[in-house]
Amino acid sequence: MKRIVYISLILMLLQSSVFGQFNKYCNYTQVAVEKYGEKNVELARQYIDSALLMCPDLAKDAYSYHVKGFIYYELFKTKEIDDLNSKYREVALTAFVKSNALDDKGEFKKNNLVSIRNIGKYYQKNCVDLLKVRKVDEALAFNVKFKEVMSLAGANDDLTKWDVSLNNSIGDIYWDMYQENMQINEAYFEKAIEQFNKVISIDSLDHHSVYTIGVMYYNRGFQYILDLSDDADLLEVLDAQEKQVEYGLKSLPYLKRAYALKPKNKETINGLSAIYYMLQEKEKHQFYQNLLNQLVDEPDEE
Amino acid sequence: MLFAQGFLAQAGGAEAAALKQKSLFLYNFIKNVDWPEDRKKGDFVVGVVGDKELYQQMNGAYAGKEINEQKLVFEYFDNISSVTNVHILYISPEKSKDLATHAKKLRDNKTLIVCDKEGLLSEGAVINFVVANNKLAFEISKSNADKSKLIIGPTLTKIATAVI
Repeated sequence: MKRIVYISLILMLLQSSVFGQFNKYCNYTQVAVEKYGEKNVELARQYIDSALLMCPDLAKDAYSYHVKGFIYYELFKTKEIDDLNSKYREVALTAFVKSNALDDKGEFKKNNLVSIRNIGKYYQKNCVDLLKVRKVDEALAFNVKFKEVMSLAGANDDLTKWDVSLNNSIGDIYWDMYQENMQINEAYFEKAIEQFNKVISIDSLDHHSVYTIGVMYYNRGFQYILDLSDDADLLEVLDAQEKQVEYGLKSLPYLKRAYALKPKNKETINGLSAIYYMLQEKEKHQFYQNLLNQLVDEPDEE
Repeated sequence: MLFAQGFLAQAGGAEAAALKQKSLFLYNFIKNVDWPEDRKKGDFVVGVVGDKELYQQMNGAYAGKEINEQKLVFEYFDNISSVTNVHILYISPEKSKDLATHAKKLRDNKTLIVCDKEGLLSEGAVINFVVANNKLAFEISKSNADKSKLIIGPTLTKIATAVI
C-alpha cells in the first residue's frame, strides 16, 4: 500500500508544474517524496516543511500539500496513533484540506478525500475508546470532530446507526453509574432516561433504548420498597408502595412497546412478567411467565 | 452497540420487594393489634403456613426483636392442622382451603389469622390481603377480631380497604 502511494506521489510529481527552478527549497517536495519512499518519514517531513516554508511559489501548490498530508498522516499512524491530541493528525488533516482547496484540476482530490475520511474514522475510534473508560464529555467532543471531518471528506454516510449506538452507550454508562451509587449518582438516572429518549427520537424502533427505559423505571420502583427499614411504619410502607406503582406504571408502556418490537426477546418477556408481578397483576404475570417457559429452548431474539 | 452490554430486568427484584412488603405489613399488624392480657407473657410467636420465603424473610429481619417486652419468635408450618399456639398466623393462598375447619381452634387461642385470598374473612380470617389499585392492601373483619378477643388499632382500621 505504502509503495503504491509512493509511486503515485512520484507520478504526480512528474506531471506537476516546474516549481523548484527558482531556489533549492522549491525542489524539496520531490526530495520529501523520495525520503518518504525510502521510509525515512521524519526526514521527509523536514523536507516538505522546508519546501513549503522557504519556497513561496509552493504556497498555492496542491501537490505539495497533498504530499505533506501523506507524510504527516504516516507519522500519525506510526508515532501518535494512541495520542488523542496528535499534532501530526491535525497537520495532516489541514494539509489535505488545503490541497483540496488549491486543487483546481481535481488531480489529488480523490486521494485527499479518502485520507480525510480515514482520519475521521480515527476520531470516531477515539470517541469509542473514551466511552469505554466512561469519559463521556471527551467522547462527545471527539464525536463532533469525527462528524466535522466526515463532512470535510464529503462523506454521505448515513450516521443514524452510529448516533443510535453512541447515545445508547452513553445511556448505558449513565445508568451503570446510577446503579453503582444511587444516592450520590441520583442525577444520572434522569440523564440516562434523557439519553435513551434521544435515541428514540432518532429511531423510534430501537429496542434497546425502549426496553432499557422500561427496566430502569421498573428497577427504581421496587427499590423504594427494598430501601425501607425493617422497622418502617405503615405510612412509610404505603408511601413507598405509591412510588413503586408510579414507576411501575411508567415502565409498563415501554416494556409493552419493547415487546411489540421484539416479541420473542426473552429479556423483554421477563421484564413484562416482572412488571406485572410488581403491579400485582398476577394473571398477566403468569401469562408472560408461561410465554417465557415456552421459549426456553429457542434462541433469543437479538 | 459500541460495546456489548445487556440489562436483565431483575425479576427477582419485584419478588424480593413483594416479600418485604408483606413482611412489613405483618410486622405492623403485630404492632397495631392488642392481644388479651394472658397472651402478653412469654415469647410472641409468629406462625407462617405454606410460605417458606416469607417465613425466612421475617425470621431474618425480626427474630429476637422485642415488642412490648415480648421477644419475637417465628415458626413455619406445612399446613394449618399442625399449627400450635401462635399469636399471629399468616396462611398462604395455597394452604388456606382448610381454614374454616381450624378457625375455631385458632380463635380460642386468640390467634390473629391473616390470609391472602379473596373471600377468606367469611371463613374466619381477621385480616385478609387484597390488591387495590395495583397495591397490596388489606381488609379487616372486626367481628372475627372480637371473637378472638383481639383489639384492632385505629391505624389499621383507617388504612384497611374494608372493615366488616
